[in-house]
Amino acid sequence: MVLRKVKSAAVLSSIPLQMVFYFNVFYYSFYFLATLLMIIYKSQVFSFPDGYLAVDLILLIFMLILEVIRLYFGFKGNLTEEEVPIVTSLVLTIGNVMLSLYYLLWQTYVLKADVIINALLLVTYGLEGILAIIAVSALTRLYT
Amino acid sequence: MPIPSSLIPSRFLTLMAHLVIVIDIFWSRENNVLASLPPTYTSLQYQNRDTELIVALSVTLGMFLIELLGFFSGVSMFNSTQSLISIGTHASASVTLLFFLFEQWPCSTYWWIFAFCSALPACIEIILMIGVFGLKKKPL
Repeated sequence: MVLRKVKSAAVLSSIPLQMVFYFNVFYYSFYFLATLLMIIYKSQVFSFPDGYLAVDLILLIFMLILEVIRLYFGFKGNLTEEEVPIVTSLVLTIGNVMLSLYYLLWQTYVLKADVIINALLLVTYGLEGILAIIAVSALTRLYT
Repeated sequence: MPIPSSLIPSRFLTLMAHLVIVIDIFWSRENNVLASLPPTYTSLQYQNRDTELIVALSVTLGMFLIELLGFFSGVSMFNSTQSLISIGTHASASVTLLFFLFEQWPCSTYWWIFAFCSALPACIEIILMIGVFGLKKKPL
């Protein structure tokens, strides 16, 4: 017996999720620029032990790549009402939460502004996680 | 339905920048309190000034909450006038508060920044919310 998805007449894409993804694009651009500039500032004012500056920069670029992939899958999944991309983006969100925690707690030098923008980013990820779970549950409810 | 212009992301970003700086000032307000006291001060005077700055910053955060509620609930998201006013005031607030923080301005200047750049958008937001929820106008 093949499970077939029922085509629903109602719109199942989650508008709050779409809004959070859309604003996440802009907030992340701001976050990336701010963190990069702060790392450059720290490299001038403070002295980094061997190799830690490279670790910080590489993790930042890795976070950027993860974020782009995650947001692309999130947009695509929410707009085409498919669960697989949304779940992929949820899994990638966990990776980004870890990286954001790194920049919040375990970075070489943590400034107050670092703490604030990372906290805001974590709030955004938390909202996305909750809304994505609600959206996926709305989408999978119609399997016959 | 109007297409998403670049007013909405700009408004979001200036709001976020202003919010980040306000939280930063909240955290490191010692320098600004010391700048508004005479060279010899009593502990009571310090407490008074500190409380004044805490009150100002808390009211600013309250105004922020009003404006963010109005923005994200859609009441004023597509209203170009409110977006422009918001972008202008919050951008100038961000720059001025940067100076406030780095140049260690006294606390009295904060009330000016608050009046023009936090209270004004929030008041217009409240008027718009009354218009949409109370008078049942369309939120555009």
